[in-house]
Parts: sequence; C-alpha cells; structure tokens
Amino acid sequence: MRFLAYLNQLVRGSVSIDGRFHPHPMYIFMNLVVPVILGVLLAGGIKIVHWILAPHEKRNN
Amino acid sequence: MDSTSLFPIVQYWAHVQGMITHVTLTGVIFLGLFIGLLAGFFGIGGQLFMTPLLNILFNIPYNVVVGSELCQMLGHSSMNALKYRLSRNVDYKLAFLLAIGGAAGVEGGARLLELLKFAKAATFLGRPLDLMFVIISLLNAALLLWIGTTIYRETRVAHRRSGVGTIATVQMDVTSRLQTICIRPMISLPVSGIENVSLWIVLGVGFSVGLLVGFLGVGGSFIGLPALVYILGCPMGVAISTDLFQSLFVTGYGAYTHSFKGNIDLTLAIVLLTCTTLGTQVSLPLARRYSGSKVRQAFAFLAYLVVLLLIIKFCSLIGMIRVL
Repeated sequence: MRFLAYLNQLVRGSVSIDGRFHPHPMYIFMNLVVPVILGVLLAGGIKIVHWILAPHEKRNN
Repeated sequence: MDSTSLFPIVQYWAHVQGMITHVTLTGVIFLGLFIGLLAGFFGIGGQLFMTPLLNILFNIPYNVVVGSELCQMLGHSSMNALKYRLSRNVDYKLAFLLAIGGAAGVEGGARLLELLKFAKAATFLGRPLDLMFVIISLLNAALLLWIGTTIYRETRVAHRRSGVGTIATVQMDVTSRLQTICIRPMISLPVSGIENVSLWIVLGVGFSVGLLVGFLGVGGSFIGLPALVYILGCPMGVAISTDLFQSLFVTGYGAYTHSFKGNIDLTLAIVLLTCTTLGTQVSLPLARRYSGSKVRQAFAFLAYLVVLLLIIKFCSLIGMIRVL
C-alpha cells in the first residue's frame, strides 16, 4: 500500500524535487524481478504455441 | 482511470523537466507491436527505432526511454536465455570479461545521462532547448544514418558482384591486426579458438557496447555480435550464445543502476516487452518468405525516415515549423 501511495505521489508531482530521485526499495525490486519473470513466462508461452502449431509427426519426434 | 497515470515515472520526469507528454496505453501497445514486427522482419533494429520514436511520438523524456528500454531488454535477455538453451556454445571466460567491461560501460552511460538530465537548457535561435534531447537525438540520428547507409551500400555492392568475400576479407584484416596488438596481460580463449588477445581489447569491446546500451538504450547485439565476430574473431555460433549470455548480466546491471536513478517506468517496460515479443512472433513467418536486398533497402529507408522525423521535431521545437 505504501508503494502505491508512493507511485500516486509521483504522478501528482508531490514528491520533493531536490535534484535527486529517491527510489522506493520496492520500486528497485520490481524493476529487476518483473521483467525476468515476464520474460520467462513469454518464453514458455512461445514454446507451448510452437508445440501446438508444429506438425503432428514433428511433435512426436 | 487517466491513461497517463498508468505511467507514473514518465509523469514524474515530465513534471520535473517541464514537459508535456502525450503517452497513452493504446499508443504504446501499437508502437510495441510495430517495433516487434520490424525486429522480426529485419532481424535487427527494434531498439534502434524505439528510442527516438518513443520520444518523437509521445514526448517521453529520454532518460525514461533509456531506463525502461533496459528493463525491457532484461526481459528479452532472460527469454532468449531460455529459448536458445545457451549453455551449449557459451565461452564463459569471454562472457565474464565482456560482462565486466559491459557493466562498467553501462554505468558510465547511465552517469552521462544523469549529467544531461540535470543540465541547464541550451538556447538555440532564442528558444530554450533541453540538452538531453539535443545530444541524444543527434547521436541517435548519427547511428541511424550510419547503419542505414552501411546496409544500403552493402545491398548495392552485393547486387553488383554477388558480395562474396568482402566481409570475410574485412574480418580477417581487422582481427589479425587487433590480435597482434600486445598490451599485457595477454589471454587465450580456447572455446572461441582465440590463441592470444589483449585483455584490454576484450574489456574495451564490452565497455563500448555497454556504453551504448547505458546511454542510448539501443540493443547491444547489433554492435556486440559483429564486434565479437569481426574484432575478436569468434566463430558465429559461439559469438551468438556468448553475446546472449553476457547481455543477461549487462542489462540486469543496467536495470539496477537506472532504477536507482529513477529512470525506469515499469508499466512502459512491461507493455513494450509483451507487445514487441508478440509482434516479433507474428512477423517471423513473413521474414522467412521475404528476404534479400529489397528488405534491407526497406530497413535503410525506415532508418532515414526516423532521422527525418527527428529533424522535424527539432525544427518544431525551435519554432521553424509548426508540426508537433
């Protein structure tokens, strides 16, 4: 909830602007973890779709 | 819900820099799909077009564009690591050295961007101009012109005399020259078949690629892969796997350092990652059907078109024309 409040403050521009950005720890964590998880999920999804679309003989081999 | 509030970091930096952004979820989805289609069709160039287009179309500050693209590239790197089962051909020693050089380059690039982000606006023809916009647009335009011209020339040469031998000759020449440079310590890379090469050349290649990634947010592969093949003399199979493997660490470090600087908009990165992947998958069958000189000429034409759009935006900012 605190993280959402932090994002809300950013949108409104009510975070103090003193020449430096103050990152929330959750912001850093999510920026590193979310793309990796999404990349893994997309790779899995692509493999499943290719397996489904592959010709039947090729799939059995 | 307001569409712009979906992109809090874009909003934040636009507010700090006194800019007005026109970013919408639908617009970013369409751009992501378009860039994905291009990347799948041409094989390269996705990131190369994305950096200027995100700024031109939506007026997103360049620092957010670069940071979010690095975050998106981290997703692509982890996806590629799974897709191509990298462990088979990777030269781990080379990948480790490239990752060290690359991380240093990314850090350097991110710090340069940080300097530009807080730099005072320059005045041009009596109008204040954002220095970050001017420098990064110029560099992007130069990169696009160079790549567009190189590809167009290669197509013409290949058309005239079937192109056999030209690239191989250049590769042998550059590789043999660089491998004779003797700046200690010298190392050998047996997996890549390189007997003797200066450690500084390997680190330098990693650093240069990392600098481009950290500063311009362009994909490292379109420079990193040719550098491994033509400069270091790696076999293509090893070069592809090693480049993909090391890019996982370089983009990971890039996402980490840009996070601390507040340059990553996660929503933008997620939408771009998903849409470019979908676009690439759709265009891959087309790319197999249509290939050859016409496709490469189309790539060169698109590169020139993006440069033209950058010029138009610059002219509109200094008040020469009223378009954007």
